[in-house]
Amino acid sequence: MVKQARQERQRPGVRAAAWAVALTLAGMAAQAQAQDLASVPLDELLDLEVTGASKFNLRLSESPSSATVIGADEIRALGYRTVAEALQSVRGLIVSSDRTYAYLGVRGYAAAGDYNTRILLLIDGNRVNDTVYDQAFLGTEFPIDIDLVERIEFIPGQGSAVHGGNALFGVVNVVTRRAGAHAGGDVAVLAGGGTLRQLRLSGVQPLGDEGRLLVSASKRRMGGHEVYYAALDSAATEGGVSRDTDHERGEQLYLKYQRPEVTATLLHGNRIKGASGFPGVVFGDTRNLYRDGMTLADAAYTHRLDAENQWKLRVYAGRYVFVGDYVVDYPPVTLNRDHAESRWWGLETNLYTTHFAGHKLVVGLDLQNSPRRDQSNYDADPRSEPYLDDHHGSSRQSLFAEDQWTVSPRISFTAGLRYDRIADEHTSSQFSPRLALVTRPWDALVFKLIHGSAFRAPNAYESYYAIGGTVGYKGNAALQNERVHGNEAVLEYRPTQASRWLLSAYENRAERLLTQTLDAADNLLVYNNIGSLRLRGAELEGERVWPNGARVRGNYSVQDAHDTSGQSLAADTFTRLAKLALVLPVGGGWTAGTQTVLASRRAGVAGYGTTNLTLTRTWNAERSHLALSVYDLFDRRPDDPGGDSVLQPVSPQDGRSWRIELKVAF
Amino acid sequence: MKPASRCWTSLLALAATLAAPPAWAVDEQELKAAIVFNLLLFVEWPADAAPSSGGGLVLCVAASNSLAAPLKALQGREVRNRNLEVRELAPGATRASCHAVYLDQADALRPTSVAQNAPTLVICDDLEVAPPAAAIVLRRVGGRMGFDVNLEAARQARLQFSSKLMRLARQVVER
Repeated sequence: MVKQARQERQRPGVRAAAWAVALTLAGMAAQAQAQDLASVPLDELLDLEVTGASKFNLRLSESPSSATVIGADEIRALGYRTVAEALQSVRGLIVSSDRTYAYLGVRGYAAAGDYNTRILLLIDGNRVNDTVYDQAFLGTEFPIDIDLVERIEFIPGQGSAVHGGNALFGVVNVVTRRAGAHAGGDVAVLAGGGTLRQLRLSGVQPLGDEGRLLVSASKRRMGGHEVYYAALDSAATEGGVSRDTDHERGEQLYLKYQRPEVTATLLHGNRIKGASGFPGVVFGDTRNLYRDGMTLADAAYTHRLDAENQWKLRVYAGRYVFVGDYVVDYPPVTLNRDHAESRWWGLETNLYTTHFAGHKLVVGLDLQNSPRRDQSNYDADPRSEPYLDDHHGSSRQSLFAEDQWTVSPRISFTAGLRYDRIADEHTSSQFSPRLALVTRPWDALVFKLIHGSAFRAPNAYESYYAIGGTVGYKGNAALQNERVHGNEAVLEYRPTQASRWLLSAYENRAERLLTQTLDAADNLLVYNNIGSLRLRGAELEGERVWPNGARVRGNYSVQDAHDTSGQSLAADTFTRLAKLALVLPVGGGWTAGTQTVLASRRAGVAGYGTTNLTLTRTWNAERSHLALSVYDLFDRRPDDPGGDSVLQPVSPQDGRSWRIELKVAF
Repeated sequence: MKPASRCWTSLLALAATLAAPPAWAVDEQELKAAIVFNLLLFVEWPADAAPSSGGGLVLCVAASNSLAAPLKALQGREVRNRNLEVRELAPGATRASCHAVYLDQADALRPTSVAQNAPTLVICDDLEVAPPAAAIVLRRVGGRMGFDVNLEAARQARLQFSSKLMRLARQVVER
């Protein structure tokens, strides 16, 4: 995939060359113009007609919601290793891990075994959930190194009106570093507990007159920890301790080309992670592992049509490969393998206009084709005929419109509507509306009312994964879309530029949730639209920064999840959650960052409180740093809920562990 | 993968044919940068915070800011007998040594470390809810740019605005 895309990039062609020349000339003209414009008197500047519309790519941040933004400075100061760890600081969110993937619980929704399918993950505003499992990758399986992340946005609520399916409970948008802040490069070495070793090389290179290329490559290895599974403690498992099974290795490559109006990205991430305690496999066998490989290519072009209209065109393609190796004792001991591969490509275009006074209107079209959504299962050693060999493509056509109407300086109203038509074995249609009212009774106080509906279409795994066996699986091609309707009221108070208070109350109703149950007639596991949930809660957050760089953010959430379908979907929900993150300059150029998370009891997992501490020293205009982190400082060793409430109710976490990172820019 | 890649190239080529803007076009970002630069001409800093002789007038902008590039292009231009120094701020860097700060939409989402009474001129982009510390807010009305002035914020920062600047403002908020 990487190789193919490169060949395409190197084939210039006459038109592409003409394009490059045209853009270079336009760029040079713009450069000259900027010099001239600055000499024009202010009153004349204010009389000039503007050709470009406002930046459309910031629409997500602007959109009325109670979004949380975590910047690169906080990521560094608080020692966040993954997107998931950063999200752990956000109010109402709880991240858990089964030691292979990170799972995000949002506002009372946290179902065991859900691979983040009800969260939409965006990179730079673009969807990246795969098309077989719908999975959002948030832990070390996320394909981009955390150092390349400029900021992480979490937008709670129903995001389908803009972004389509999966945005049932929230949207995670990871904004990557721009190519062009600094020419030059850096090298980072990282070591940590569990014999973690990582090396990363990054650099920015000017390419042509205004173009910049950002290249980053990283490689990591980890031996992992010994993991004790109390539930599996027996003579057969040698005391329930899984050894040499927690290993991990991964490679990541990231290329971003930017010039005015054009951005192109190519990224690849591959991770192999040992499965230390997967239920039902031979315990302690080091061949139990998961492989996740993701490749994404993306090119976007923004063109100004006239003073009030801006047009954007984006083409994209993605590939995701999953391999799950399970050592099972039939007997004989056999290596069984799940293999899934999804490929998709698409085209997105939108028009942003400020033609109508007081309105910011965007209309868009998104076409996606997923020609391959393959799933197979077979014994790899000794080799067998496939138990499953499924090939189902799908396609999606979407139309959306959103209007932000500034009724008066103190009142604005946003209405959005999206239509999705999804062609799988059956074709489904879905409308997703969203309405928001933002009022500002006085300067420091903002009040928001938000209503939205979101959906998720059944994925290939839920619809078509079928293998026989003592307890096997069967597909269900008659599945329907899940729906969530939500309401939220937000009060935001900003007494000064340096502080912010936020109070939010919400209610989400989920219906037709796809839930896996055992069909007593044939003893096969099957998905049906039988789950329903009512989630309610309130959140309070305070944030303040000081001129010396000190920063504090604390929040408290109360949640109530009520399963109205009797499927125990609410079992993993905690009722109370408190978080405090503090960044403090401590002298000598050092900064201390500490984060404490307190969570109440969930299902079979006790409540816990953990604290992390990071010390950072930066130099060279903050481009170089040394960071020392201790995670779970007080060695509380909490448990997270496991992936299966019966077979693996708890997943033990690492106790105290450390990490050291040195990044040197040149 | 093959069909997608082919599509990629041909679409870029298509885009190429539409690429070049007409010569008379005034780019919004370039215009905003020019306006920000011009605004600095009409602001007086308190004596203890004025740019020292020989030192530059420091305008800070986040590296990720949409105006970073066009403002950078104005580096070294003369403002009130000082040279303009455009400083790209790493995320979260302290803004204590900036005479002026330009915030765009993404910057304004987060509380920033501009001290309440620091003599820093905060200029921000056209926002639904402008931060209270913003003494000047750019406004886009129809196809033209304008700006609003917040005198309370200016007072807090001990900045003096010239009468010409006040005259050109669309709206002057006294609070």
